[in-house]
Amino acid sequence: MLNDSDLGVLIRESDSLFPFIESLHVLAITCFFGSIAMVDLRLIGVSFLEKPILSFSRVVLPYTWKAFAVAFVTGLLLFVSKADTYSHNQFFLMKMSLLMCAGINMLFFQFATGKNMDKWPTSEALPAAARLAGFTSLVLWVSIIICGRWIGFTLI
Amino acid sequence: MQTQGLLDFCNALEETSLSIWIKDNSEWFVPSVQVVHIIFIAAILVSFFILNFKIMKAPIGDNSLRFDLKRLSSIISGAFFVLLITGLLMIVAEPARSLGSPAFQIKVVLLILTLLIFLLFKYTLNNDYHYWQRTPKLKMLSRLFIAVSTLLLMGIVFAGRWIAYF
Repeated sequence: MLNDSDLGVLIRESDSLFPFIESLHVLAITCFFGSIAMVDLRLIGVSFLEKPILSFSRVVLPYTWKAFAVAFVTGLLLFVSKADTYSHNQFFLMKMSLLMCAGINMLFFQFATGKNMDKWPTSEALPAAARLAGFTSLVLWVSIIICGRWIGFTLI
Repeated sequence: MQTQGLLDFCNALEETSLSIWIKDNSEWFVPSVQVVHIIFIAAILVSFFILNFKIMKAPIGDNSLRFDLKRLSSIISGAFFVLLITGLLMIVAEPARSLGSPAFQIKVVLLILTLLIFLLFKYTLNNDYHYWQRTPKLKMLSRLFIAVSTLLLMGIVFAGRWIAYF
């Protein structure tokens, strides 16, 4: 149904629309990943240690969410253009599952692990649960990029 | 732009053992290299955006720019190096498709311009951390460079993706 929608046909049959949306998707993903990786690296204790996690994440995360919104909308448009093909691609399905895991990890961090973020030390290593959340997030997002790239090589 | 010399070079490159090996293993090697390429593009984009933001917003006397410049410069330089290696591997994998593509040629020009702006910022800020805030004219010029570099970075990502199509 999605595959045969006017929008799907328009994107699929245009010479430049699909690559344009795909480029926007990649741009949004790079901005999203770059910014969330900064917060994850801070959580793990690898970089940006001089910045308190609470204020650091408050500065960075709004940009992260904006980039995610663009990646989500452009991803949806790409999906609509080849819904049949994507929905049968194992790497696409894996990417969606990993996205759900990343979402759960974020929600868990927001409402459980990071609930007392304001009481965490400002310039030292963070609690183990926070470091684990950062590491999990980083692994999940790298895996999502891997699956995303593999989709392009396995579409039939 | 596709000259005979370029095509000859591509053909010679295609016959190297590295190119043949990459082609034989292209199923996993090319997407793996592309994943690394994308991750380091993300590192450059975000580092550049932070650097731009700091140059625009850091108040005079704020020493964090000194620290950030050092850290971001090493991230940007390191990421450029990784992009160079992964980019070269992708060229060797498909020389004619990449070197002969107008999108690739545009990407290289944009990359060089971005690198020049980065070096300009690095050189001036290393001598004076608030160089771009000294006069209204310099402030305006820095904003122009920041806007241009942002567009260039976006252009690099776009051109990179369009290599697959044109």
